[in-house]
Amino acid sequence: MGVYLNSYSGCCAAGLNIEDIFQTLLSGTSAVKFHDGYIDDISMPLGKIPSDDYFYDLIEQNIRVAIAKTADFDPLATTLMVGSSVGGMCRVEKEYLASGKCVKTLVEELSIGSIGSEMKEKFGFSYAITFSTACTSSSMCIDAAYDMISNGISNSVVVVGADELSRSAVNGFDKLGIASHELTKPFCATREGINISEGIAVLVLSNKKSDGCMQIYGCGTSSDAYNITHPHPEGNGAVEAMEKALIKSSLNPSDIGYINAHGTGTVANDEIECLAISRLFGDDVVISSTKSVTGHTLGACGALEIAICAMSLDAQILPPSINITTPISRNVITKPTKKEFKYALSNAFGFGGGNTSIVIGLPNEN
Amino acid sequence: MKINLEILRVAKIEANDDTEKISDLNEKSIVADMMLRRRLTRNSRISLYLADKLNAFSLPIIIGNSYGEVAETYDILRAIKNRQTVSPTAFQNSVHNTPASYISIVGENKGYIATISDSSDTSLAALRLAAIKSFSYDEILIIITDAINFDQLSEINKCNITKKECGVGLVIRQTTKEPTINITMDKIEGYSPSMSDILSLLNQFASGNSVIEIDF
Repeated sequence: MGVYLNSYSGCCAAGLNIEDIFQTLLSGTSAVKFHDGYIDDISMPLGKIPSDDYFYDLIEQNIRVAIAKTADFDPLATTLMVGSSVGGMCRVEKEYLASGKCVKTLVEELSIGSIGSEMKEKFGFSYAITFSTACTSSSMCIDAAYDMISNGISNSVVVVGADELSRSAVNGFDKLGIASHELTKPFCATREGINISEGIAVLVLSNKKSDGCMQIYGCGTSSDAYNITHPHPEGNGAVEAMEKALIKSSLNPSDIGYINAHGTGTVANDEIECLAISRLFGDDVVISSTKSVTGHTLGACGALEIAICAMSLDAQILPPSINITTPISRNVITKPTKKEFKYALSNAFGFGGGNTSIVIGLPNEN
Repeated sequence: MKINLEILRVAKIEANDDTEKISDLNEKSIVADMMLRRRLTRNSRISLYLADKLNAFSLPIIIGNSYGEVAETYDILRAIKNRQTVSPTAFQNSVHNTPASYISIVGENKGYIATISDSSDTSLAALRLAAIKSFSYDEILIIITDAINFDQLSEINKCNITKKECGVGLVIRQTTKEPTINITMDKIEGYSPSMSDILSLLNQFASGNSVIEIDF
């Protein structure tokens, strides 16, 4: 059974809707700005959503936008899958850091599951399943949603990827030495690390094909079984995830016209991801990291970057990697590039060694 | 759609009460690397113990954790509040899928690992994911843990939840057998809602019932 991406929405530093995000990507300008107040005495380059709305309200708004574009949407017949790495962390931070004690906040509100339980309540979804697997969180949702629909378990799944900027994450990545203090430069020889960002993406997946939809052809997951924070040095886990996604899609590496790389801008990720891609695809595939514009939206990045791939397939334009002076791979594009292509592959790799690859493309005729 | 899951084997460990932690999780035998062992979170130690007990290191792994690594999260918050340096180890260990990752590292398991966190509904959500993945894998390891027993919990939590450490592991597979376990569970006092749910299943398994019907 085919799995179709019928509608999607999103917001991040690069825009308050997916169309604006795509235009910002094509403009080649970073959406990341310097902000005080996240790390003591340091102004950090971070990707903040340009809105004063409460983060959970933005999630709700994005779900409404996505389901409004879907004909005959029935929440009761729809599974909600949420991917998040920090969940309600910011609520706790605000209260605890102000007073040194949380008198209002329940552990349940800190929980990653708070997004799913609140959105399930608001929209009447049949139930929620929340993945928290660091930066692969929302990609893991897409993988499970693909299995649900292709096996006939559910006709419709809404995937939400959402992560808010928290001081805990910004300080944590900084102390691990992988948060850049400059604008991030994925796939550049002088890259210094990640720009932490916030973001939301909502995908409506179903077994029904609609006008303008895209198709999810297959997903692959693997585990490095190597290190909590460092990827396998030969990229074995990344290769395995990409191979599995291709096999599930019944495609060859040469069928893939564009790879939206995980491309975080850390020294380790980018070098090893390039190695993994070249092991499987050789020098023939085109790649870019849209995190060079949006920053790294953590658990939201998998869903957000699938929405970006869908926009790219629709427009037949590939978004570039920016801020590169010396590329570490000939495969990386640094300018928006018109190209006829049918299939894109999106990677997400996370702390703990989890790897997820997803193939999305123009829908098959039959 | 309804999917039936057969419980093949189970393991459980818990503290005597909520004033103390589980005393012996056999870490030295399970994790030979001393540096790795020292870094393990409580949830990770309990999860590794259960994976070892069930001889299930090589299976696809689904971890269910209602609250996550709250002690490590608290360490980070306290450091930020006191303008101290955030511990990189606390940060990497604060990620919810830390236990699944440590199992994959210790067991050299390069397959499917996932972590589910749905507050009170965590156990049921983990069972649902296992049912979804039962089309792809013959057997799946599910582990549900609670490990929030640390002195300062009340500073970041106003509600009166139990601090009792507990962990349950199940190995399941898809089956065509008729369901024998009632998934509308009665709450068991002294445990978190999610842990109570999975313990209810275990009680029914102990009475000779082994098939759960997951209704989508």
